[in-house]
Amino acid sequence: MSASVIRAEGLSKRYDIAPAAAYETFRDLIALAVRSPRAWWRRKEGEPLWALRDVGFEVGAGSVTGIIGRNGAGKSTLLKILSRITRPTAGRAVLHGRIASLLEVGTGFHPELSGRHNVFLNGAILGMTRREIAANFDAIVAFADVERFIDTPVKFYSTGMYLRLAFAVAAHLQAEILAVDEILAVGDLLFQRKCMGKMAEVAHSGRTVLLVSHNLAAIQALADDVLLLDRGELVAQGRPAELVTRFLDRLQGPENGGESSDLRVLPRPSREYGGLVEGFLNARPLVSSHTLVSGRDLLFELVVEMAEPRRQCYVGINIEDDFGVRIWSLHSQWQIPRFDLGAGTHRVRCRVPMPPLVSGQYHIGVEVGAGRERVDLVERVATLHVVQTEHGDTGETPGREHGYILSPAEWTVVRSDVPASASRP
Amino acid sequence: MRATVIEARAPSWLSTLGEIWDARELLQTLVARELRIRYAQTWVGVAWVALKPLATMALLWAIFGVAADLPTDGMPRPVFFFAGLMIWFFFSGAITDGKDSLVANADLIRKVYFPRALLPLAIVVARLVDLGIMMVFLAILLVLTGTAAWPSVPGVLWAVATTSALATAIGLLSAAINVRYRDATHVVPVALQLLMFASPILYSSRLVPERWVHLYALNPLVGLIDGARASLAGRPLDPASALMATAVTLVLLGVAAIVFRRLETSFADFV
Repeated sequence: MSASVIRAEGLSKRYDIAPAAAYETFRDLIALAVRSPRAWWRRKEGEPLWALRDVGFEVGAGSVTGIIGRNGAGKSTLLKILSRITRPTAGRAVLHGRIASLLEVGTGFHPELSGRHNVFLNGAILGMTRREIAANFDAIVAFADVERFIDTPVKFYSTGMYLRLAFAVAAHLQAEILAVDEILAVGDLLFQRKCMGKMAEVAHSGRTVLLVSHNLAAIQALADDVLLLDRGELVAQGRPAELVTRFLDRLQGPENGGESSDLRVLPRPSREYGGLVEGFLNARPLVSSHTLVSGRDLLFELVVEMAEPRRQCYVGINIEDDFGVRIWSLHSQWQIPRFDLGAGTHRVRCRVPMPPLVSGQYHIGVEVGAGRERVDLVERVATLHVVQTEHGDTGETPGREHGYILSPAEWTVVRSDVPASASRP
Repeated sequence: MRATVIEARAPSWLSTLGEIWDARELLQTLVARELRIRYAQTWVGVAWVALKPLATMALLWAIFGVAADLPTDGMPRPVFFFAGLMIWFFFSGAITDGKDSLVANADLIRKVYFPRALLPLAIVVARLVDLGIMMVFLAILLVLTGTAAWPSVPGVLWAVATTSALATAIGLLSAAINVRYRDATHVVPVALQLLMFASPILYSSRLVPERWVHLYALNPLVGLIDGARASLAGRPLDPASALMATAVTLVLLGVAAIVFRRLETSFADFV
């Protein structure tokens, strides 16, 4: 391993969560001080919450380190400490080189200013010198593809143009260390692909990158090294494939809270005749995000409550991509005859082998129909993150531009310019 | 390659000042942003800066012109008013924008690191540009009123520098407190209003009764405005009053720097 660029020891960060009766205003504080100086002196600052606890690691020069963990694991806090946005409560980190943080695309962009002025403003805020910005200006504008509008205030830009320009500035940062948070989740598909390409280019340009993402596929594609955090503690540091699998196993564990099986509260066209009440996927509440490893079975369970008896019913499960393109549907009437549902509660189960979907994010919708009529339909109930862990050891995995299906194909390569018998020794 | 050390305790004063110096290009950019935004989509543009004190001066002239026996420190009445108003508009403008400078840039503070003091500093520098414009109008006024003496340049520079330091101190202080206690933003205008009447802007400090003079002089704006007027009339500064204003300003600046550094650590968590 090359010399370490970041060395962190015992990093901890405590937040004081304000109690309900916090003295958030000057007025309250002064009123309290006047009423009871003792209470003022002893006023409670809040409940302590350790966002990060005793985290230590090293990052080698030129490596791409992915930081993974569920929500609240301390990923963003760690990036904020390393990029000096907030100070640790305890511990120490030493960085060799300039660090630029990209926790958001377009930080500091001002709508009234022209594209040109925003490039200089944003670049300066992100830590570039004016000379560096000027030297990269043409490349930035070309990358963003906004040459014609560069002197127009950005408030007149379309969202796409705005994001492209913002990312372009970020992509041309000259810092030795880049701290990136979820930046890949912006823009349309085409632009995301361009961003991914640029990120890979940056990653291979010898700069050190810290990357926080919920997109495990992106982490696997880009990172050389992964830090796995859980509840503010560093669980492990190691190879991406290994830690992503370990993370998934943790996620599937019973302790993953904050989700619901209740489908009644979700928006839908109408459910006057009754409809979907509860849903589960692999025995976990459906309303949440699920990370699935291709190749394993899926078990759906839906609870349907009918206000009145209906004949000729079916139940459907639909999988879409981010743009609402249907990828895959499971409808009961294709495998079993339509059934009658009496008034009351029914449970429908469906077991299906996981299709060989390409890594990425998908959305699940569920529906119940009777005859030609749809009784209930809930779209985007849950998010599905598909991750491949079992496809070869080449280190290369397909992205969305290669379609949706990754089949475990077998390949052989033989020489054919010489007779088969002659090629054998 | 320079190593950055991240620790719980604040970096040394020296390295904090060094960081601000290193970030001077960003300061320039922030000042440019401030000025561009202010004058974007305005028709009269830069003239707005002078219009406000000019209008106020005209109003005061009209009102107090009647009471001809009110002292004006031996200056033509319009120059007397404009000089006081110019300092006041610079100071109060810098505080009014400065107190919100951190809260208004919450997105920056949460997402990027740079020396936080740059935000209130940029406001003061941008307002200095306004002051420069007002001084051009003042020069015209001096010529029109046929003031005989040449202004004392060192005196004017002292007044501008000390007022800037005072505005920086109050700006840093109110901006930092405003992050934590949002009603500070409502306290400041009231305090400014009171301060305006406690400063010799609409009247001459010679009108202040003898027994209050020492207390009155604790307000650094007293020494600053009197000093600015004296310098414009080509008279020397009154040493006692100038020293008092400078001393109070430096003390306030020190206190503001200490408070700002103390609160700076938690800006990103509260803003």
